[in-house]
Amino acid sequence: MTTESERAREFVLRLLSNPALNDFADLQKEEQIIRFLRTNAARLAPALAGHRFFPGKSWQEIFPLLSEALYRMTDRQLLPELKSIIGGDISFSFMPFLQLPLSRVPDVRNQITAFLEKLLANGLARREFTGAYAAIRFRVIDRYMDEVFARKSYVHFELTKVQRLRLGKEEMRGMIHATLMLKPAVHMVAARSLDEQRGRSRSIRHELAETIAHALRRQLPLVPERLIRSAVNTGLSFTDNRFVDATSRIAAIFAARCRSYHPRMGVDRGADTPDKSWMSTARRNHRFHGFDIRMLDEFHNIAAENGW
Amino acid sequence: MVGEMRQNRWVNFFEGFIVVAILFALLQTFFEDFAIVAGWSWSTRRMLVYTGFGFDLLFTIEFLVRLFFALSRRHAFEYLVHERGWIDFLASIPLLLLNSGPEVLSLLGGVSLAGAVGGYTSMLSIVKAIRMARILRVLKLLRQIRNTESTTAQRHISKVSIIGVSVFVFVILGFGLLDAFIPLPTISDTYGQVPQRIISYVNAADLGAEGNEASLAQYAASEPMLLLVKSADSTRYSRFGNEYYATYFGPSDYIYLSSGKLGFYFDVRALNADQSLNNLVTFGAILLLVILMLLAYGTHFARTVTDPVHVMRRGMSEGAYNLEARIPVRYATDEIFQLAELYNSHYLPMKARSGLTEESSVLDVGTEDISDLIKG
Repeated sequence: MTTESERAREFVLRLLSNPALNDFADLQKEEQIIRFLRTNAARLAPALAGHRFFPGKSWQEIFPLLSEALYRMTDRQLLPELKSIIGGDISFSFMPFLQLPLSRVPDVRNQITAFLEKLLANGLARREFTGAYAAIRFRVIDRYMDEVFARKSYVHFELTKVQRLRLGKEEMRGMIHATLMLKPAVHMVAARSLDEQRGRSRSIRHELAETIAHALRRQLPLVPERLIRSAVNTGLSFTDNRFVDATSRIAAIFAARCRSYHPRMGVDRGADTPDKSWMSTARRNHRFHGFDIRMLDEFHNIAAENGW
Repeated sequence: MVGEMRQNRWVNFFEGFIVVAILFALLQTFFEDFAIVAGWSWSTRRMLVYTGFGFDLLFTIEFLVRLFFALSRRHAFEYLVHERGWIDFLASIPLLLLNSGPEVLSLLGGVSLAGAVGGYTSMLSIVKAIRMARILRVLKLLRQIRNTESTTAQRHISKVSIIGVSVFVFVILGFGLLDAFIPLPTISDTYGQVPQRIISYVNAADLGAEGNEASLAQYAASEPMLLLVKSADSTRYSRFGNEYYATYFGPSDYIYLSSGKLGFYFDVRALNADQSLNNLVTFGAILLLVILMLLAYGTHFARTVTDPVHVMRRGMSEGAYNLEARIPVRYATDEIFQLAELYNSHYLPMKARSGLTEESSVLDVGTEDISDLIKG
């Protein structure tokens, strides 16, 4: 006789094997399935409450069983992959510029890995990590940074002259990737405060950002202050806070972009390309999201010129 | 359910077979005329005449079958008017009864259709006019071949193609019939006067008399239409040997006229070739018209009408779909692209702000897809 968790696992496994999910990152798959379950709750509930799965249980009881099984299965794939990304794929060669000797980098990697494992246990932070993780996983930043450095336009100016990051392309990618990794910490540290202070906007207030940064410094003592600020400030609206770091603005844009990113998305005839479409819509909503419109302009042009 | 599937399989097979038959019939139509222009042997042309008859018979049966089913479902009017039954009709029964049928019968009976040049040319006009209906089969393909996923585009392209081709065919057909009943001044008339002139000259100069063979041959050299002059008991003149006639001449390639004791055979292959060349030009023009309609106009229509509509429809009906409609600069002032601009600049941002995109799943699975799991 199978247990409820085994049956939940069997059901989730079937959903995960759907070809529509093949090209997504693990957390995106998870998010898609959660959305699917929520959207189809009315149809699924009576079927799943039958004798085959969870006899007599209500949807309120079934959903946690399924989501728990889903999280477990995702984690089994995600955590080793995350370790491999932090342990090697992301370049931490920018650390010396942030006054951290290279010899301490392995410790920083370990600390971030441990922190992310903790972070993934938090539902809200986990959801917020979806886009950031997809941006890193699909190396979306890499190709945009290539173009940014080739153009040496607004984004490059903001990174090198305003934020004064005297970094090469590789180091800059590493810094933005690390920012993306730590971005959801905002939601883990201050989930309740976020709920309270958020209105319709998605951005956080400056005072809350300070509090979060302070809390994070305690949890991540080895991580340089500038990196923590870069991560926390991703939650600030650029419209209200013109001092927000360029790395934060870039990370905020790409975390949002990559939440729905599909590496092999088919483009209908008569439709614009996915990145160009997203950037264009984001430009029109830049105040709502708190994005830097000039950055969006540049990324939009890059996407348009490259057919992304 | 099984019966329905079997029936669908038969219908699909039938429709597929008809598409193949139409393609072969169009090739046959082309080669039947090309063979005349190129001067292919009579045996080859005879085979093409028989295959043409076969296709006419096949499409007549197809039309009758479709009409029968339409009648049995009480929507014969719908079939004939809206489902292009009239094309099926024009490209089948008239051809069988007035063109290939009589042609095959005359071949089997071993008789020439023409008795006199005047009659021959006017009959040729009718036959030529009716033969044009064969080209209407190109339009039958439009029903069978889907060149676009959009039903709107398919319908519009079909409509425009049908209008274009029909105008082409009916104008030629109309003039052909007009020419048959009210003779218009054409090259055929000039051509038709030649045999009478030759006969008059031969009779006046008594070139058909015994002993005048050399003079007759000398005169015939200047009249390429004159093939053969026969008296009751002997051949006075022959341009070619019997073997050549057997190889290259069919019943429609010559006409026979008699005057007194002499019988005259005239070569009308040049006239036939001229008509066939005209047919080939018409055939090529119609084919090109349809191809351009499908490729050039079809692409343009899709690009400027159905593609943006399709993108906007998906954006409005699928939560996770957030691609903008592409607006070509050249057509930005078109109403459809003005609508697309509103969709891009208002609807999509509003949808993104409402969180609809983030609430929707791309997971294309319904509960029916996992019914085996649910039912156990």
